[in-house]
Amino acid sequence: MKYLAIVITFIGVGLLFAFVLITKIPSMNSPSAYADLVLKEDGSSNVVSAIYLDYRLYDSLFEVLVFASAILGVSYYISHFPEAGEVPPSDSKLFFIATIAFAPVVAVWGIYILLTGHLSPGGAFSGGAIGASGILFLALAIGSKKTERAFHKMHLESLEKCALLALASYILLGAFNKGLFSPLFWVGTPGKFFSGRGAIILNISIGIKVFVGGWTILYLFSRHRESV
Amino acid sequence: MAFKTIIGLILLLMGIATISARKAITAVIFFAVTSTFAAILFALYRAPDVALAEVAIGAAFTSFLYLIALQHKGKLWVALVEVKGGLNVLEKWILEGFCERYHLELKLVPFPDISRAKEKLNSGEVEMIAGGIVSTPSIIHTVPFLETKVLLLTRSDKNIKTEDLGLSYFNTPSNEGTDVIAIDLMRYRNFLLSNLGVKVEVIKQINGLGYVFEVRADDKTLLKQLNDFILEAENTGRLKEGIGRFVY
Repeated sequence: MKYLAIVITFIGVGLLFAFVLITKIPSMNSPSAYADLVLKEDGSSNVVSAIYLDYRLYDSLFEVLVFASAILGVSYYISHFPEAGEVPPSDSKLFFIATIAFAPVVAVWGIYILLTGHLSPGGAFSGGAIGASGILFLALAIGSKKTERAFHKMHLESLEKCALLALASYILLGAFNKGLFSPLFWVGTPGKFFSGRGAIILNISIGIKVFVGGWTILYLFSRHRESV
Repeated sequence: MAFKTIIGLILLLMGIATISARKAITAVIFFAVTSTFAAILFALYRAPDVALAEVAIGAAFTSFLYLIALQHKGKLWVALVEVKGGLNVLEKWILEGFCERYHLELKLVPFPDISRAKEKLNSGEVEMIAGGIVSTPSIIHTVPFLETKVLLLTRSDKNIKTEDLGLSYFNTPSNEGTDVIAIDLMRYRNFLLSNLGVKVEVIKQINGLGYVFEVRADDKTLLKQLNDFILEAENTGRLKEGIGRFVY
């Protein structure tokens, strides 16, 4: 089994190198050329979003992979610590009512920031983190066991894997299309929601990954907490 | 000086305060403040995406993560006298339910016999004793959770060892040499299972006793909480379920 893993790793690294040598990534000579190029080719109002979702998409892919391997590492190594039980529902009524009123607002606001990342500052990473904080408020109110059960029922972990698959297939299809990641009809007019090439799909995929990964980390840390 | 420089200096000071805090919780709070000032600086330098991400992750996510991870729970120290069979499992189940109800952490300290456990109880190192304690009037105890009897036996064969762990609960070293052993039902069952074919005679049975937990004389709150918990478990039928699962 160990040798199989090593062989697969080497094959994966070889494929990566082949991929890098084959695809041609165009580079700009000056950074100020981006401003006009984004309006013409990309169509999103947020230049930062256009850069990390269109021109430098491979960097975003590696960010997502780093995030995924961080979660993998945490969930493996934290199992060596003793468990301390779930976070119980809060005892004080004031805290309960305040957080349960606050949590859905924060979570929905996080999803809004995620979806409109190509129109105003925001995007997948901040939106996913804000959504995870909203779910954390919910877990503080009703206890982490119920929240984990709700996540399990919604099959959010499978959705996370599908999101990674969607991201990878989007990038691969684009690489074979000479770097043009999505068909041109997605460009749209800057300012409308349906613009920015693949921004909506990519924001949703990366956002789901960050959201579910953030909740996984929170749940693991809360289960293996220190109690003196 | 410019506003950005001032915020930058405050950020530096907050960072130094985070490192030099004494308690862990203080460091977490200073970390959240540092993160907020960094987000303000990002916004001043016209990078709103980064500022939003920094606020979401640094001030909310990471701080709450650390605060949850550093929660402290009160502890309940229990001396557990070891009895072979399901009785210890039943008592551990009851105590775990009790600790979950009162948000405590259960710390079980095993003891092979009762006298050392009583020493620890009197010295204050443990708060209660569990493990096949029978409800004699001489100890301060909770309501019984399982009925039992005490049997007085004579042994016809002098070769039975009384040092066998948990054989005799009431015997003290003073009546070691006599022929009468007082034993409760669970230990009698273990004794019969481990010494098959040994002849003992039951002289007398004392009915109406029960297995209890022993607490200190001055610990009235713990006694009341335990009594409430056991009575509630009896009323809802959970106690009977547990007895059926573990003991019989």
